[in-house]
Amino acid sequence: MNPEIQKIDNFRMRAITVLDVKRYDERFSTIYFRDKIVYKSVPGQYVMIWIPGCDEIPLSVSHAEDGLCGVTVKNVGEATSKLCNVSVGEKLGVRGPFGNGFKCMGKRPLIVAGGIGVAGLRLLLYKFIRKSITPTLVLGTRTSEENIFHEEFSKNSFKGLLKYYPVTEDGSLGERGLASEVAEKLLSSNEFDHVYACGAEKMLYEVFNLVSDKGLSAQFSLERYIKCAVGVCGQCVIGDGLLVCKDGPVFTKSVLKRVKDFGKFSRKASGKRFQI
Amino acid sequence: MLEMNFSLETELAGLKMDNPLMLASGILGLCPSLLKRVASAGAGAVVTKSVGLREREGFPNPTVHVIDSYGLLNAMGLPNPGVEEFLKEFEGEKFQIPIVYSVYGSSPEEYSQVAKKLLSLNPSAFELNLSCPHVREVGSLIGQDPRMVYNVVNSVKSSVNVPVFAKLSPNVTDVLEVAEAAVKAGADAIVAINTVKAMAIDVDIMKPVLGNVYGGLSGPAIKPIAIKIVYDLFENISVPIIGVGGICCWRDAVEFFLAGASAVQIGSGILWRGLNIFGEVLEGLRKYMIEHKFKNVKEIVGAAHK
Repeated sequence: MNPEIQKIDNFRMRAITVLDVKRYDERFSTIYFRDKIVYKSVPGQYVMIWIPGCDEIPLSVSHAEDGLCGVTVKNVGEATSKLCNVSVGEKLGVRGPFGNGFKCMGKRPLIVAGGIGVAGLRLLLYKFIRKSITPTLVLGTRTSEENIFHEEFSKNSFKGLLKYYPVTEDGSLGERGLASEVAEKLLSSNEFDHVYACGAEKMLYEVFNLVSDKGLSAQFSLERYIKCAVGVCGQCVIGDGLLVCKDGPVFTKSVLKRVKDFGKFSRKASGKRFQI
Repeated sequence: MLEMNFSLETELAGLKMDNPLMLASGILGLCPSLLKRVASAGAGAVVTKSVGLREREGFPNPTVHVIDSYGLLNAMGLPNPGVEEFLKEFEGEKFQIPIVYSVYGSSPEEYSQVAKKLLSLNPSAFELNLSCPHVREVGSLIGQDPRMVYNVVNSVKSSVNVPVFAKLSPNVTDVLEVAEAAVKAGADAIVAINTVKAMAIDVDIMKPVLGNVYGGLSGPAIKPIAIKIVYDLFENISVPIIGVGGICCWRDAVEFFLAGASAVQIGSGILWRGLNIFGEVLEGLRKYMIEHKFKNVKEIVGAAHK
């Protein structure tokens, strides 16, 4: 055995047993399991979940409390549908956590979440609250049903610990409009020192444009088709040779300024570029 | 002053390289930006991901399975955007180091078609990925049939005026027979070896891990297999050999040179060491050469045979 190579534990595929499933509606579920390595995730990191006989997909770690890990999934295709409807006791595979995650910075953070992107921000939100910092959360969804964390974030126990602004495109919950539009209004007050965003790239790009000329730092979590997750296949490349799987998925505003394809192009499984 | 006339520069089948380390095909080589990142990490030459005539999605995930610290099992399934899209992405890009385009096909004609299209990019060389399924004989690989390998190399050689490397599959009874067929057809160098057929089953889930059930193994586990093949090829063939298989540190690279490789390719090692691996191997190689009073890499090549 080559002594210069160290076994890297998170690379290894581990079998996990589904211990609990929280079904919000037929399209959204949080799947709970135990895994010591995933439990130590930094907010914003992701895992690869293997659904045997089907696929393996990247999902943000949305839960790491009381010994339980969780991933929150939206049903958008075959693999996510199987995962949404997984039963307690079923076995899945997990690799990771992978990627850099968010750096928890700032005393007055604005967190902008789009749709299921909120799953990747949930741990960050709690980290701020534990540090006695009050984050402002803008959570944009199409409809009120798609805001699966509304109940959690509007709890009485959160009063004073979190400023929460739900936004829906159809106006069925909170303000009518887009998360980026509400973020724009809030940013005009200049009360924030750091912006975090996770969601559809169009939204991220809007937020990036809002902050790019302002003197405040920002971190964005990007999504790409992930295959290896360990920085060798190149599938998730952006900009001047950055890998979303390993260098990301979180990139700072200053790094993204150099990434010409941010907000414009992504890649299919074949590696072919397509317009976002 | 030993270091005065000491050099890591080397030349191989007409390619002038600052050092004998190349990026192996299939690792990171999807687009110019990544290849440039590898170049600035210290590689002497880079090889692209294999490109074919048409766009291919590849196999479903899991496509990669890391086996402890010794193996990387993969079944990517030759994903690529197709040669036309590939041309669009690479057009007008300038590289400071030689760039080798890896080509695959399902017939000799397809290989040469792809190679001809890539000529507009001024390739330093072509590397033929012979671990591809046969168009007619289902289940077997082109690289497993010496006759087919001869036809593929011959077809590309007669279509382009650029060095052609044949990358051999170890999944054969007699690698030498395949190598000789490639050399006879005009291959300018032999790349050895491609991944070793392998699979893994998760004992808790009780199913094969890879989406494609089986795949190819790379990493430290296959290095002794590659060393043996390079050693044997060095005794028997007349063209330079590029060694590849499990290089993770400078000792591994030196082992390949001693066995007979004129240059080496690094791939899976990047998984464990990151892109720093190129700098690490170069530094170790430099010290080794100074310590053993080698003035250039060519003096080490095949030294274990003397």
